[in-house]
Amino acid sequence: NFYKTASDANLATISMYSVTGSINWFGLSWMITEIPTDNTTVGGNDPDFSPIDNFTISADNSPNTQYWQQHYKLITLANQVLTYVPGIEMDEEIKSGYLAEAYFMRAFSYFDLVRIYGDVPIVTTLPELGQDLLIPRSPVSEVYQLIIDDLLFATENLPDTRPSSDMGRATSYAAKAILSKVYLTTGEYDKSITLCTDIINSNQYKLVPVADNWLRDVSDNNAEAIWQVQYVGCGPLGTGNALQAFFAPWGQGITQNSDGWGSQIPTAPTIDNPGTTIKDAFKSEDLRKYHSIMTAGDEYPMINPSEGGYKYPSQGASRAQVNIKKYVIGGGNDVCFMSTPQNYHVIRYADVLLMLAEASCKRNGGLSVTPEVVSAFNQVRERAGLSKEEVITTEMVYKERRLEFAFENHRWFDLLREGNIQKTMQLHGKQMQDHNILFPIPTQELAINPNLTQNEGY
Amino acid sequence: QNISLALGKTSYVSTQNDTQKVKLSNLLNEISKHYGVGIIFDAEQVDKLMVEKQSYDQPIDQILKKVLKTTGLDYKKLNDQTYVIKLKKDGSTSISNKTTEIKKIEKIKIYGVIMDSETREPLIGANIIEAKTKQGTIADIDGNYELTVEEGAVLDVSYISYESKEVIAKSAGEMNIFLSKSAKILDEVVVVGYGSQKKSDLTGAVSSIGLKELEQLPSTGLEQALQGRSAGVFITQNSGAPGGGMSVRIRGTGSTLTAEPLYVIDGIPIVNDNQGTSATFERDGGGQYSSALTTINPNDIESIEILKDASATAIYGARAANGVVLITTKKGTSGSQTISFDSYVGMQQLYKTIPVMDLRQYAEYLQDIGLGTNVEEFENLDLLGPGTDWQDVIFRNAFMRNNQFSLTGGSEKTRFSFTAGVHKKNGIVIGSDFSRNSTKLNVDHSFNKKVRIGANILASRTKENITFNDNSNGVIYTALLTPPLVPAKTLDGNFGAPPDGNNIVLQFDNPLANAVEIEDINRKSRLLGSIYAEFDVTSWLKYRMELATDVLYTNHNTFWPAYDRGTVSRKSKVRRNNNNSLYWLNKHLLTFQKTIAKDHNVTVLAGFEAQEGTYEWLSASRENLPSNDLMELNLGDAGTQVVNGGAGHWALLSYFGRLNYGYADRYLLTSTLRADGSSRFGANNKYGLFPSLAFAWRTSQENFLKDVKQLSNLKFRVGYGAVGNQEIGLYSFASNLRATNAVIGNQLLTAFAPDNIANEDVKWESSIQFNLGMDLGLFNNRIEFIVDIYNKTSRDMLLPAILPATAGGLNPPFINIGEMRNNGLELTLNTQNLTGKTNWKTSANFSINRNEVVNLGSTGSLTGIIQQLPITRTVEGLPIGQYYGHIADGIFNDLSEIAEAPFQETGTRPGDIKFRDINGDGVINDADKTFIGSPHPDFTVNVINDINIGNFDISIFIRGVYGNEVFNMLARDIEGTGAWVNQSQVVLDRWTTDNLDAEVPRANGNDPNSNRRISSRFVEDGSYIRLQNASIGYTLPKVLTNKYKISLIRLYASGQNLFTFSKYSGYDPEIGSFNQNPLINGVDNGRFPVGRSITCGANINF
Repeated sequence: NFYKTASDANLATISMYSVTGSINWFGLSWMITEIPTDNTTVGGNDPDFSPIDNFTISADNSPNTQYWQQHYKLITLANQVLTYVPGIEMDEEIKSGYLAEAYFMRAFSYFDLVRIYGDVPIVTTLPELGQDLLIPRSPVSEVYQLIIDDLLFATENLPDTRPSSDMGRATSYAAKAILSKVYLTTGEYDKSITLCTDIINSNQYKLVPVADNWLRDVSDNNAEAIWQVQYVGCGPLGTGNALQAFFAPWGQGITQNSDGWGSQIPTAPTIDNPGTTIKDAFKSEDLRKYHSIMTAGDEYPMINPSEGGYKYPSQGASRAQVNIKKYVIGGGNDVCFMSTPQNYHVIRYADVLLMLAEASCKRNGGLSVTPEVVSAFNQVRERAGLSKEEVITTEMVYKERRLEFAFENHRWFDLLREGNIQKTMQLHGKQMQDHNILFPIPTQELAINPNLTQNEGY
Repeated sequence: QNISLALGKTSYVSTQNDTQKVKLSNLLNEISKHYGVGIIFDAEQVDKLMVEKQSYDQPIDQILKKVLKTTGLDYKKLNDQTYVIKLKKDGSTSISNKTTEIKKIEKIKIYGVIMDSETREPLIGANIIEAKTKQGTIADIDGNYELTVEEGAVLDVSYISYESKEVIAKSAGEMNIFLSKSAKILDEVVVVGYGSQKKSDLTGAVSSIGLKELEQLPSTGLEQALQGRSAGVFITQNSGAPGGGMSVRIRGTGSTLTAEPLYVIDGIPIVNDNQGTSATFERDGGGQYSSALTTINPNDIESIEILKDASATAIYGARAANGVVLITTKKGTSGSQTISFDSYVGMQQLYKTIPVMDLRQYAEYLQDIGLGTNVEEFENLDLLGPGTDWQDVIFRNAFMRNNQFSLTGGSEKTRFSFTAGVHKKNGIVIGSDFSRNSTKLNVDHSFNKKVRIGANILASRTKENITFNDNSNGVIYTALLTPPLVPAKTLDGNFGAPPDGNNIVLQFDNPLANAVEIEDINRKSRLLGSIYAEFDVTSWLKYRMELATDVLYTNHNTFWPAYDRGTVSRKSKVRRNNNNSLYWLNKHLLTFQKTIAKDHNVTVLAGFEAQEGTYEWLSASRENLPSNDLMELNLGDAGTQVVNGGAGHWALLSYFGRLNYGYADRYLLTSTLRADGSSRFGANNKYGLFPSLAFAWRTSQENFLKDVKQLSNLKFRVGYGAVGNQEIGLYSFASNLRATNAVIGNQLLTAFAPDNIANEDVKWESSIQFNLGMDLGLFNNRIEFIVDIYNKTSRDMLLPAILPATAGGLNPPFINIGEMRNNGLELTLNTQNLTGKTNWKTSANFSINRNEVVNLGSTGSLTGIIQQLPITRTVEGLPIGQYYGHIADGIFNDLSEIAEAPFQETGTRPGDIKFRDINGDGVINDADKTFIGSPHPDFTVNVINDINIGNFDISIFIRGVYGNEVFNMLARDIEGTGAWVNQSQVVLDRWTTDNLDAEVPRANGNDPNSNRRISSRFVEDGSYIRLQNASIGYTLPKVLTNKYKISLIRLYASGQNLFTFSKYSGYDPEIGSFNQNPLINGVDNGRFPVGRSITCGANINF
């Protein structure tokens, strides 16, 4: 009796956000898209994370299996909307808005899958008994075609803005931003530039001071946010931001909720990675550093102010003697075990500016002097308190991106787009094999579905 | 004066068909045979009378009336089986008066009561005749007779369906005569689905348990009374808690979902599952559901029939796959009013304790594992006393009492029965008890000769006080693990905790506090009511309509007080759990019964039935109440509020029919067909059709065997049929929605997402059964032997499909794919070793069942989980629910042994258990798990002896179960050499360098070798022999009681569960299945043991 009214359509559409909001999505993504990079490492030896960190991951790795499962879960909920909502009698414009949200979410999920696993099974219908559920992998090109088609529909049918009561739901600009990154990944730089320009010219977004992105309350749905996952603190499991629990240094009492495990820490300097850690990458005057990593002597009055704030110990609180600061906001009434109210930035305006720079450089053979492009790039630098540049190169853009989006689950994909990921990781002191470009298809999927093949090398 | 007795068996002189007038005596004989009743008449009175022949297509009363119309005689119905022909009232003399009148030659006058030798019930209309003179009388309505005979005369005493007896009139005065029920009980009537049948006409496998057997065992629930009574029916108590659940397996386990039978109480089907009917306390830490059937007072039950094979059960169609238990409650009888009281009191106790360490042993143990050095109490071990005996603290001698009042009686037109019962039973674990108040009213009224109406109302209220058990945080479990150092209570009256500052770390609370401080009360109110109307359309066609309802309210209230003791503390929490269910039934039956051309007996039943059940539940809880004395929900912290609820609905629409055909009492055929349309089935399979066919051959009725005197009965039965199990969940066919939390615009919203993949084809699990049986009676049925073999195949078992993650994490659809087989043999031997004044009967039954899972489809295997640990595994080719784990191969004695053995753990040291490398890969891991034991017995045997000596009656009941294994979860902890917790005394004999041939591994609080892993180490022999019941009763002589107008006083004492012989190291090897889950049997998870009980009581009838 469900899927009959506009309200049913709305509730079904909203269900997709329960997946992106769950701990298994962004609470987990860092294990796949940050841990294996030069930004971070595991806080301590862990049977699940360590093999990802040092490229000895096997096909039965649990976070990898989870990652696969969660992405298909979102795809299924999107397919639910696409299956049932068209038959509901309701306002056609609102209906196509809901469908556009589903296309948006489906594309968003496939975009992760195709970059992590390469060829993946394409599921575009709601699974039913009798229908063949053992779907083989489709080539990357077909997956991208689906992603682009879905996002094109989304850009055309999603609203440009959302009222505050609907904040967090996809908008046309969110779709354009994601699509722009898709084009950037597939090498269709002109299309990427067009979309970025579109977003910039809308004047709907602007950069905010660095601190405003990372301080509690002000960071939620601020002027820079294009798409944020919405969180509330202390609600049921999976409705709050769990990243603080994983990132906050262990044993410092920062969260006041017996979590804060320091599971992911900024990379530790070793003999094998001289000068390549993220701490080394930050210039001391970079305003983003204080909000990205905690280093000896840093003081954070905003963390547990009633107790006089938090001072990072001089001997450090992890084996790297640095810890991640992003999403660490301390305790309080609205903070519970694995649950803070701080929204999560999926895509923000700085990304659009740097995508424009990246696409332009790549189209122009590696550098750009176009004033709008240079200005976009410099906006990001200036906001960080750094000097302007006259000429920008692809390499500069990636360096900037590493610092701007540290620990925001972009690094693995940026390294993939940059190319040379193996060499970068080698310089960083990690032995990455050819096959590590892709992650393994989970063992249990192969066992259940004989039509699947494993990625080479696993 | 001659008094003849016409019995159904008596051969009669055939009448000539063409003459209208026949001899009255012949006709009466014929009527007697046809209707299977006894007709008592005075041969002299009827000798010369000729009457008109009557057709038999009318009720017997009508025929008799017509026949006697012109004779000046009348008849009187003494009971259902006996009619007496007498002079009309205005004839001024009754037979008995006439007797004394005629007897002029007075010798001696004897009088007394003719009674049933077992029940002491008066035998109304029993014959007593002087052998020589053929003169005699019949007993009156109270069984009294009075006769004047020659001294020393031989008297023949007889009564229909009783053994005739010769007695000698030695002297004048009172002489009570006892008759025993004839072994020819073949004409006993048994209840079958939607009707009743003569036992001799049965073609299926049916066990019948009568009032007498039921009365022998003072029990809380009716399942207990059934335990061991019938071959092929294996009943275990899942929990010994008063009111605790039982699991009943009729001919093995036939489903992975639910394997409990269907109960039909006076025509109202009741499923003893807990969906919508019974609150669970599983989530509170206790592990077992309570039984939904405890709302039924066993004292109200007249008889129980267990339908075992498909021929008997198929009339219940989609609900019959696990067998059917028919319960008939007591009805009113016409005749004098009887008031009776039945009371007993009893005491139960734990019959075995598990020896655990005393304080000194505990201290030494702790020091051995490197703990306890900081405990100041342990500085001087010589000063230590025994410490707290925790088993003594939590177990108690528990009192129980039962009072039952009944009033029955009625006129010929109206019969009624009213009963009221109060039952109260304390559990042997402190803080647990059960009480039930119940009443029952039954009224039957004959509106006129053709129309009968009646009503049956059963109302009860039960209250259970539950202590958390059957789990690792239960009272029993923690009592065994709590160190003797912890006092039960401190001197100031508070519950004890480990002394401060000595570092004893316990993860659980004081067991006594756990038992008595937590308030967990489950109240059930049930109303089971039905009304019927029956109309004789013609003498051979009957219509019956029934309306019934079952209303059950369950209130389950729990309060956990806040505490802070030693290393553990808890916030207070209150929870209210309400569950209401409503059921109704409407039934229409047409019964056609006719004898065609003398030898063809045909009964056809056609019926229609509609039933519907709904339930809803609501559960709310809050934490942090301001005080432990305030238990109201609204006082709790609103932020901690959790509210849940749900509702369900099901309906069943059924059409059914049965044909019974008998030819010349020799060849019997039963065929049934039922169509069930169930709301639980998918759209593509709404109706299931369940047929059965059975045939019986009463070989002993054949001419070639009729003359074999020793052979009283020989019957072969064969039956085949298909039945279903519709207990597949209410909505397993449907695509369901799951509520999910999503945050939009900083608001927490509830959204809906699909939960599962639907299977519109979902249907019943079907069970196809073949049964072959033989009934043999020898020496006037003094030896009765029944053998049945069966093959029961459960097909289309509902199992979850296995899906790839690309199906989006939806719950898999359930598909009808599995197959399981049960083969078995049942033997029953009933013997009358002695008859007469000293009467000794033995009933023995023996059962073998072999279960095999044949097909699990893509599911591959099913896992049974307890304490988050996989304990059992069910795979194709083996019986359901096998224990699964590593094999323990002794203990490593030195480092070189460890070095040579396959790698186990980095922490493996001498004294650790060596596990077997099943796959030979040099590493001990999950791949080396295998099947390590089975909960299924090889066979079960039950022997019941009933002895009557004069006024004494004695009963001894022994139950044996052989060849099953128990998985002792409790031993994992009390022999687990854990840190801080107390241990079994077995651990005293642990491995040390001085004790190399030990069976218990070295003590190490951290268990680095994982010696506690699920392994064969904890699998124990679960065979047992149990003295289930022994009772002795004494009936006061009538001479004494009659003076006070009391018809019966019987005093009795009985003991249950008196001794158990078993190798099992835990409390009780009778474990049962965990929450009736067919996948988890025989796992002792700190089960509430069944106590030994002694009861004394009295029955008084007025």
